[in-house]
Amino acid sequence: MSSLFKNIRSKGNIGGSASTSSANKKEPAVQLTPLEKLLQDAPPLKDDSRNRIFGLENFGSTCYGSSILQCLFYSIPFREQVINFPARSSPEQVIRGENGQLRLVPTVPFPQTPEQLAKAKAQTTTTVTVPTTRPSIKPEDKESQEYKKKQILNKGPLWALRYDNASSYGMKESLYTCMKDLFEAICMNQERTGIIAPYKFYEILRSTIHETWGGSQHQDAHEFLNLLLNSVVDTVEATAKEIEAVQGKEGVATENGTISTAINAVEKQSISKAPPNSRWVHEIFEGTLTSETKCLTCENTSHRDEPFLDLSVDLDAHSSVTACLNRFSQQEMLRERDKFFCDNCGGLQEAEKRMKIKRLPKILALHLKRFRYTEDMQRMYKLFHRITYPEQLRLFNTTADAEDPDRLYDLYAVVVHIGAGPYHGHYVSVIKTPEHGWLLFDDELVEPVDKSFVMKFFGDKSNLACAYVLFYQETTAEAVKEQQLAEGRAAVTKMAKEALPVKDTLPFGLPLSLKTNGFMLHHITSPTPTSPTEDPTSVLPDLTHAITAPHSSSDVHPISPSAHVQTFTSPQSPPDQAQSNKERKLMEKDAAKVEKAAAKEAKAMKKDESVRQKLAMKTAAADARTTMENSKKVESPIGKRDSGTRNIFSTLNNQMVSSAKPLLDQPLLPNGKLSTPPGPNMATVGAPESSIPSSSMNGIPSSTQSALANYPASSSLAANPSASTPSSINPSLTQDYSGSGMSAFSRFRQGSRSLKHRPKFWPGSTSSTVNPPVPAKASNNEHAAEQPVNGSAAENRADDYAVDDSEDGSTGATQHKPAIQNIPRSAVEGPSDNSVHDEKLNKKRTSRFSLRRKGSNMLSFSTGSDR
Amino acid sequence: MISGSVLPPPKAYSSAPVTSTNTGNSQILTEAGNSLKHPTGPEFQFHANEGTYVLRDDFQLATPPPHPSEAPTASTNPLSTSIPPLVSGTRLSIIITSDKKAPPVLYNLNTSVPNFSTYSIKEQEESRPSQDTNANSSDVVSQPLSTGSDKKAPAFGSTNVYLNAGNGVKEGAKRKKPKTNMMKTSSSFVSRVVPHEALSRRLNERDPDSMLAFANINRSLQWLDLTSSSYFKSEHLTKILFTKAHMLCHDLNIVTKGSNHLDLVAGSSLADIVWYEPFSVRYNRINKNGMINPSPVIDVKWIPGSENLFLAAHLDGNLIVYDKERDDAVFVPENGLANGFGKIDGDGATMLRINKSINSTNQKTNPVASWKISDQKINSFSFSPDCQHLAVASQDGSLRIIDYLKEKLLDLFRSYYGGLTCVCWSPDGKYVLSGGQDDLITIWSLAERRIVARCPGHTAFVSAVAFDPWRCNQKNYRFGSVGEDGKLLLWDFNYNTLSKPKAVVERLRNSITSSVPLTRHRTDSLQTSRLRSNSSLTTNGTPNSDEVEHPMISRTQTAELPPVMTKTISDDPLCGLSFQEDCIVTSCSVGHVRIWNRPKEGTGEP
Repeated sequence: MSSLFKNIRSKGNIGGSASTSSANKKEPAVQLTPLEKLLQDAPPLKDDSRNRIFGLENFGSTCYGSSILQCLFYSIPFREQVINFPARSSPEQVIRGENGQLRLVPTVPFPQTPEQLAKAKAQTTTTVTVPTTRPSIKPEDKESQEYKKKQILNKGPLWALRYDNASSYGMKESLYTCMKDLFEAICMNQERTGIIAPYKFYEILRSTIHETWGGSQHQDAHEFLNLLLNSVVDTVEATAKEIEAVQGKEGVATENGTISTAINAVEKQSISKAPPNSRWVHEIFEGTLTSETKCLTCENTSHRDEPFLDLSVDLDAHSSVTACLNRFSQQEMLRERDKFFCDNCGGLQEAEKRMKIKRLPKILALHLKRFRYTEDMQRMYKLFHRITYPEQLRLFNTTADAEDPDRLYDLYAVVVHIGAGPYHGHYVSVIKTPEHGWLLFDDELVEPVDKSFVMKFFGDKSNLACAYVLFYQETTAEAVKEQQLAEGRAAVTKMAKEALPVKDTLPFGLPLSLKTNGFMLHHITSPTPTSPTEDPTSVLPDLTHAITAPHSSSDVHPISPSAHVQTFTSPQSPPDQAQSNKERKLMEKDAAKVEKAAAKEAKAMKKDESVRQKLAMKTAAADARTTMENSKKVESPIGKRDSGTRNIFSTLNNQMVSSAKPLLDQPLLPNGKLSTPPGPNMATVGAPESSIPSSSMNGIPSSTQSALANYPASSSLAANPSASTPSSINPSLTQDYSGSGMSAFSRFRQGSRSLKHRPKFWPGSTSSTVNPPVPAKASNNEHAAEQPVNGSAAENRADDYAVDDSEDGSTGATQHKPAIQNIPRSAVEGPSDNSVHDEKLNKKRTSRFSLRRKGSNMLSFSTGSDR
Repeated sequence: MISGSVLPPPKAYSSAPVTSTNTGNSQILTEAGNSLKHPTGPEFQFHANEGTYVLRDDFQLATPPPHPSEAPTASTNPLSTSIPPLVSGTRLSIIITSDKKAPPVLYNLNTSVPNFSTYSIKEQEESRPSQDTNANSSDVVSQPLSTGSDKKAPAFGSTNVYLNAGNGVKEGAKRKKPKTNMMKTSSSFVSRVVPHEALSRRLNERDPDSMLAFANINRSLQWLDLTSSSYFKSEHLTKILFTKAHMLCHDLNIVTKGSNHLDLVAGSSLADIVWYEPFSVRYNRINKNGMINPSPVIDVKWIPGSENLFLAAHLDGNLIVYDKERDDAVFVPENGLANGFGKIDGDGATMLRINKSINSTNQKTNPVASWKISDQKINSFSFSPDCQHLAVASQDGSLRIIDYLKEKLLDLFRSYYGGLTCVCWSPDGKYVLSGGQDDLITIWSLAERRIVARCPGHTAFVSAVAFDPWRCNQKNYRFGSVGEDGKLLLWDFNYNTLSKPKAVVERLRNSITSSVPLTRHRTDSLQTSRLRSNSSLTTNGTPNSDEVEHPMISRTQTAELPPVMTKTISDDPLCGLSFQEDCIVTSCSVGHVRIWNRPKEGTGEP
């Protein structure tokens, strides 16, 4: 059955694109996400756990978990150990449970066929003529993470991990086993990509650690890393001991048969009967710090070794990671109350202390301490210091006797925190995967990114996204050189493939973001047209390639001579140009024909597939029902998820004053022209819009939809604008932020022991920004109160990531559109009873819009330019 | 209209020390004039051995708002994967049209020995007065510096008949001006040209020793008179606003400078290069729309001694020589391979792929020469004073020394880690400095072909390094550096007093180390094909000294040099540093230019 799905998926997302493309008569072109485009060229899947890229679903605020889990998954030594300890499950064991039931089954059905969509459309009352333009979804909205995630979730497939496979490899259920199950689900998956929803993992997290974890409460990613690693260490050590014990006493009957299963499993894989390695976590992540304390009285230096799994460094404004590490190892004076008890002198003495690294770990996890505690306000705040991190790293603060002091590290993962403060925010991770280069993992959404993207998170006053945890893995100079050469080569070949005609200087010109994984070439600021039918990039590469075919085969000049012919008349004589124009037109036609053919084929395939799919669905009906029940149970988390994220990020918006972007008011049509003044268009667009999203939501389990309806209610529950300050501060936590050199260890220890303490992020406190009151526009909702005065920020867009917004300020009920966030107030989704309300809003928006237009960019720039 | 600034997150917690800086002003995107302040106080001074440097002028250049036709940067989404336009911080090209204040010429052009090996600074100092007049006169007569003597290497490209065929008169005759009048052009490349209202008066009344400068900020390029006595100091002489291009780099030609003529070449983020003559307000666009190479121009410099040739480093690893007066044409590499690196022969890192040689016979159009050094980004390059060598700093951490007359890669050095961001030569051409993302400045010896010292001191990436020729003498080199930490550091480098790490000292004791053998090696180097054996160089680990590539040397085996002065002079990352006769000029990434007066007690003449 999974192979069926594979077939469908390989044909591309047909159903998904139908919901987004314009309603043309002809079949819309297949629209692939950037990730899929990247994976198109990938070699076929093997069972060796490579080449699979999965997003992790966010259940509310589990982004701290998804980002760290992805980083750990792509820490190859760690992943290999997890999969292999205590024993490696076979794909069968993963896909089927012990009772033989198929359990690695996608719960989100595959993309809809056009027939299903058509049916849904026919059922709606309003006319479904979606105009060719959708001015209410601005092109830049389509670029928002929310929108993209929505597309991904719509598309599926999504695997819900609710099972526990621990017994199959002889362990009891624990955080480690859930993580192992998760890794295995990814590695053994028959699909190359998709979304995994690790329900079980968070369930166990909640139950074994503390109830505040794994729920809707925000947590700190580094703290999570710490507690996860410690939990893994504990579990591994315990399991290893058990195995060892059983191994030692072969004849002794064990109480639980599970360990014997483990032994059997181990033996099956013909691992030697040597005791299993229980220290692999330490071997990967652990380093040793030496604190050298020199008593100033007797000049005696005492050393003390302390292990660490990660390093937490304090930050200075405008510095680099190197400098922060050096500061970490700076000399500290122990005096007055901190006097050091010298064994030699036998008393408290003043001393100089410094901490140096004695042994470097294989993987160095650097935690940038961006969250600082302030006594005055009794809360924590975020430091936006600009901390630059190099791609490779060597450490200066090693002891004199350290082995390999020049060990070279290579950056491979960055956890980024986006948000104005520590209490709310979003985590994503940017990871260098061995097969696919740099990828951005944003919960469900995975996107290939450029290397320069990785360097965007140094942190800035104007950018809410800052690097928070850096992962460096050890490497050699040769390996780095190889990597660089390979990158360069890849960039050149990619450039050749994507060779586009040179841009002209006019704006809204051809879309020319040449994104290569090596370096950037052209840069544009104009948004790329996203309508598939109007997407020239699908046409142009064929063009240039075709035209240059006679000249060269593999080594294509990035600016092929004939490509220039199209844009420059001077070097070419007119007859040549006419010729090349003709050729180009022919090519265009050919390309269009090819596309049509492909689309027809796809349609035919779809029909076949839909039949097969129905069969498949029937056979999996039992499974589906059970999963539906389960999903209903977790309906509230899903609902909360939406509200939670809305909450967080709307408040984020409020904190940013928007920059003037008058042009945003003029939505960009896919064909690159400015849209006509809205006027009546807006109103007509508004209404039909309402039906489309609802139909597109059919793909989502009904639980989500009902959750959406519940949204306004739940959001008010979740929203708690009253700033609640923690009444008592846990002194141990305070210590963590004292900035002393010992902080790394105190954190380390705290992390391992004091999990019962109040977590870093206090429940119930959300952004406590003091927001000016807003002219109440039919809003009984907390969020309306959070509108900034000038009304130019649109908090209702609730982009997770919006830095600034120049949408019109808006109104109540339409704010909480969780699904397709970027249809602003005029469009309504879901419950249709809001449509009347929205008509009014449409008009209001229209008028506001036109007002906007008057005071538009022309004025602002002309005043400037007259000077 | 809304001011449209992207302010830092409003202080949710009233005492939250968000890293606010005083550049809030500069972030406001409404166009304003430059502002000039004269703050005083201890934080605006710094002390070195020779005295106290005091801040003279504190400019804030006006940041132009985005052009109306340009689509607003839609990235409300900080995770947007679209690539933003390339920007560079404010850099200055400074020139003094008269020759009075020229930097001391520490590179002896007129010696009979065709290299810099036996050259000692002391000798130079003694013969300086006569040298000066020679040098000055050569400037006035505008002879290319590099052809001072017969035995010197010929000027770049002068042997190529085809190249020079079309060239016009050199000396005495009127300087060639660019074709297009910027004020009257209808091209959309330039958005606006704003000359000062009293421009002609200012130019006429200008002190010939005045310090003229060009500064780029965002999409504007400003021409300024930074002389202390100028009344209009803060107001630009001319301001050019480009529509979309950001000028990332620029350079002024010292060969063709005159009291009424300057040649400025500027490389942009859109790959176009502009040759601009400010007095006549005329310009040429070269590599228009990226016809020859589509990637942005990261660094551009006039070739020493040349009137019309300049070298541009493109982001994709290409070094291309252009002639300011030639037209563009589609570039087809002449080595049979499409744009080089399709096939890598051997080790891709150590090649200098000549896509078009300077000696090529096909010289009708630009480019005049084209070399590809790697696939990685080039960050910066610098010409050596001997007008023969070129040092290129690259993002992959490599420093390449290229003999550009012979079009040959001589050395490839590696940074400690991270990319190399800036590079410069010592005034006598012996040493090369590189600054990088390892927060270090590294000193390399050209003759010894190895690292000499690492200089830790910055707490962030180093963005610019420069020698102070007025404070370099036989004993000591003075150089300065600025970094993204907002700090200016001054260093004194004396080879003999370097504190060598223990490991090296031991080894050196047992092998030849004195300066005599070094000299011999250097002369050897040019007479033979650089074959030499020097056991003290075995730290390299490469017994074959023909090896171009030099592996990284361990930290424990390299000397370290501390700075002599450290001062945080800016709240923003700094990106430009320039030493002038009476001052030091620093510039930061958001258009903040500071001019620091040298100490009054002498300008460091030995």
